[in-house]
Amino acid sequence: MSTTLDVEHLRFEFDDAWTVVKYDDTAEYACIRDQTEAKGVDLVGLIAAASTRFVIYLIEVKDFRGHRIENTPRIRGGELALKVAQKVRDTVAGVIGARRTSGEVQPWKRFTGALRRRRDEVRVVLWLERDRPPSRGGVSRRRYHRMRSKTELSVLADTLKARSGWLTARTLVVDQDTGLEGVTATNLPGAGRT
Amino acid sequence: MKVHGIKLKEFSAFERVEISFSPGLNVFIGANATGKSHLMKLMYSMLKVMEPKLKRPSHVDKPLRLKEKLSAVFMPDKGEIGRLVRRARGRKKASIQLDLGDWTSHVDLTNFARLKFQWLGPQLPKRSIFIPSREALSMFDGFIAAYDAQKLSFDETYYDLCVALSAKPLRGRRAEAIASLLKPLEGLLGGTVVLEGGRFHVHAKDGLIEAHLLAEGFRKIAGLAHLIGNGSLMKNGFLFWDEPEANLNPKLVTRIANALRTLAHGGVQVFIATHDYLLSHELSLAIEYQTKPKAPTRFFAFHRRDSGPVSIQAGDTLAELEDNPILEEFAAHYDREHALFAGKVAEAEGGRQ
Repeated sequence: MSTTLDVEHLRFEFDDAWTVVKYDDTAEYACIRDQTEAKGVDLVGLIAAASTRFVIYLIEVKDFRGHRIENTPRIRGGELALKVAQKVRDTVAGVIGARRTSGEVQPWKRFTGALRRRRDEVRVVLWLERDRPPSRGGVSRRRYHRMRSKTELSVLADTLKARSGWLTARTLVVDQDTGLEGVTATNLPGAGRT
Repeated sequence: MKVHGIKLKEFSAFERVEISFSPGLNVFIGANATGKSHLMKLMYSMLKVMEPKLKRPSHVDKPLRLKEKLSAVFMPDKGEIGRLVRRARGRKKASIQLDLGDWTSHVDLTNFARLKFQWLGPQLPKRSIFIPSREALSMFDGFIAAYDAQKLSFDETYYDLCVALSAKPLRGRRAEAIASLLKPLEGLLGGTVVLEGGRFHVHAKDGLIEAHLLAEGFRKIAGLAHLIGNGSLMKNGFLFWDEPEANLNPKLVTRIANALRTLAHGGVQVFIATHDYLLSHELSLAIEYQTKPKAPTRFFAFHRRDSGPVSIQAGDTLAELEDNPILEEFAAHYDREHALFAGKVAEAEGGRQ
């Protein structure tokens, strides 16, 4: 059964291969946040890459649509990459703590298993939505902007990688155009408005 | 005088191409072997042989001089310039028409090397400079003599560049006129460029530094500064620069972008061929946001479909170009990373081919 989760102005639909929680809505996150001021990523998910191999995803969602001017320096200056990396760090601690202290065994047992086992993989994802250039212009202009956007995502992924290497080299920045396999993202009402 | 445009028929990789240039900066992008350098070398050769020298060039020997120039600049096998005609069976003729505003210059060239050259106007062009992708400052010492003695197998653009570099710096009022162009480059170098004892040096705060001891990127900038300083790059002159980005670190690339715009703003018509993402996008950004120094700019995408002839598409910004191989490769890099991230190794490796 698929899982639907709303984050900011985006609705994410994860197909049935995914076990996913909206981490910063969980009681376990609230506990570590209240006690230590820890931050957390928006979504933690797990999929089976093979029968004995799993991939855990730590997904932070940033919807900067309508806030380009304020957020451009944050993106360029590396501040965003650092913030995401700190959330990733705190989430790893929070998931392990939840496994030890939560009344619920799952999904924390599966998440910590994937974090712990070297044969499993940890993937960090920044899902970043930004304002798109005005839709006027032909197909080639839209294609140009899509290609340019990919280049920018790639550059941002490099800054994030530099902050996440202690945990994993698998770091990617995506948006609705590029997305993730098994995940559909659609806009909620109000998306892109300030 | 500016080159307003060019019409090419059956020349090099082009079957039939007609493009209009910017009077300021013209940026050629495209994959390898799409004719960017050939087009620059062709225009350079046509303008170079018509430059006023000590003696006004004779109109009688124009075709011969162009023949020799094309042979020396393109270096086809055995000097056979007929090889510059687009390859096909039987007799073929290339025709080139350089639009110089109120008049044109025509070249007809057969694959048997018969060449007709007409310069149908009263005016002669100001100085043209061609900067090849390899820097010339470090090879300057003794290059001209060795080239004259036919001991070197470099195309003639290197020789011409060394000759231009050998000129003495301007003085007095003429030096003042170029100061605004020169200053940013000297600021980058941290000193002035001097030619002493047949070798280039940078006169910096700490004393003289030999050009050979400079990083190659700085040598390129020093070369450009010297060409400005000695009047080789002047208002209404022409600069052709093949891959300015070669051996430059990204920080210097942005400075070079600015220097090119400053030159174009100062009245030099500039043509560059580049593979560099940063350089091409810096130049496009300057147009998109109309930043200073304002220099009219046009971008040209050279594209070859399958093994057919090369077509050229023009636009005022990079966004207007349908084919942008530089950006396409960066975007493809992201796609490969995306595929690898998702564990699709085969897909990523397929995309690399």
